[in-house]
Amino acid sequence: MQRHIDTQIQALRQEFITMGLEVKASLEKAIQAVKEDDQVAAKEVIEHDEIINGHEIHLEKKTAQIIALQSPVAGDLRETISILKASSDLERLADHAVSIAKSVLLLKEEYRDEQIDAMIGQMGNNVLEMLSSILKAYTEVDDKLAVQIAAKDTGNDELYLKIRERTLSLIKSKPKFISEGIDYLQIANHLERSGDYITNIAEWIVYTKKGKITELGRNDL
Amino acid sequence: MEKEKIITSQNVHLYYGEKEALKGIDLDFPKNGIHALIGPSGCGKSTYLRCLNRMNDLIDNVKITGAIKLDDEDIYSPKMDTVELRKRVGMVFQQPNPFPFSIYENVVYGLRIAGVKDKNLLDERVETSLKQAAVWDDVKDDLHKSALALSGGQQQRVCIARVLAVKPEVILLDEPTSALDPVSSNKVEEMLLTLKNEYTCIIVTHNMQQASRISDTTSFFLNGNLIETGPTKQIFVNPTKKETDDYLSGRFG
Repeated sequence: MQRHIDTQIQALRQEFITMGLEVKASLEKAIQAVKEDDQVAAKEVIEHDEIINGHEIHLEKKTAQIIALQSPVAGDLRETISILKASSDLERLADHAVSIAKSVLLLKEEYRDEQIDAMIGQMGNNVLEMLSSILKAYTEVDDKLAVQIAAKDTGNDELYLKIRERTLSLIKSKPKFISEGIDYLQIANHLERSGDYITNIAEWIVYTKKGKITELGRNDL
Repeated sequence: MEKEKIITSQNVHLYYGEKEALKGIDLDFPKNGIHALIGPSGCGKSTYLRCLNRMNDLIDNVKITGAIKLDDEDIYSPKMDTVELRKRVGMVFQQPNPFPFSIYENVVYGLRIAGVKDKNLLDERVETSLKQAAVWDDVKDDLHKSALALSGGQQQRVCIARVLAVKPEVILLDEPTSALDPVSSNKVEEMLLTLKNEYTCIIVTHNMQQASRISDTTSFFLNGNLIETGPTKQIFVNPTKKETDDYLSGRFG
């Protein structure tokens, strides 16, 4: 039996995925901008944020309406709450993409370090891969996949520590590197936080499926 | 900590002639609080509710097996006095059913049958019960007018006062607000919330929001079986059985 609430939740799901794909595109572009020192792309990421914020606000309105008018319970309720919560995680992810783009505008070409660039590239790929898979896990309400994705966040935390170590040693030997060093650290930090938000989304997938509020891969720095 | 049980039922089967309406119900109720019984029409929830104060005895051709105990006493034992039982386990019906007497006489009806003659005691019980039933302010100046002149919502609360006047331990409510408007329903709900600390209320309701708003535990019946029972907040957020989820979400029923 097709219920009225089914069509409404279906519309929420679709908008959530659309928003997820937009966030992924922003993050991808921001990471690409870091790699290629692409200032134009960085500015585009910053401008695009408004559209993503608009999706979050719209999803908040729609979920509030469903809760007030349709009184969802059980599975419907869990899915509605998960979309509400996970959409703010997506919005935060997009904010990190914006912050990375802003750092690109500050980083100076002449002080770049190949090793750090490589590690940031690796971290960026890992985060993007996690984000693509989490959108898949969300669509299929696959809690097992969600748990696997969250486990990948450890890789980001390890890379972050390595980047930090390398940056600090460069700053010590080359005091002029300090400003770039801070930008690099910030980029790495934003990527690390992005991994945490993807882990949050994984937790909401588990909640939708199992009704359990869990803490996945808590190894925050 | 396990709460003290006031009613326990084990393997309760009920047959209307050949038809098996309850197919082995095991269900216990902790003392005090509000317990909701939900399920689609014909699932057996009202039949089960009526077993708890032997209202089904009045129907021909009914056979009940299994055990239902009130404070560890078998209520179907031949030694059980049904008048005494129904005093301890009162019932409120879907349609308000005041007797065609004054409000006062409605409330003291049970006490008069029990032989209470002390006017002060009767007056005191009328006032307390009507206050507990949240209808005192509506009727205090018209206690000797006919209960039939009241609105449906007021009548229902007078009927609840009539049950409370005999100081029951358990109050059974069979869709007590389905004939009432939202404002009156809300008054009955608020009243039940004030009663639940002293009484065990077991309510059959088709109104899912009502069950989720006021009950502490919820039991879901389907086709004569008890599918799931548990704390209301668990049943409405994360039921363990698919049938429960489907029913609550309106996929059938």
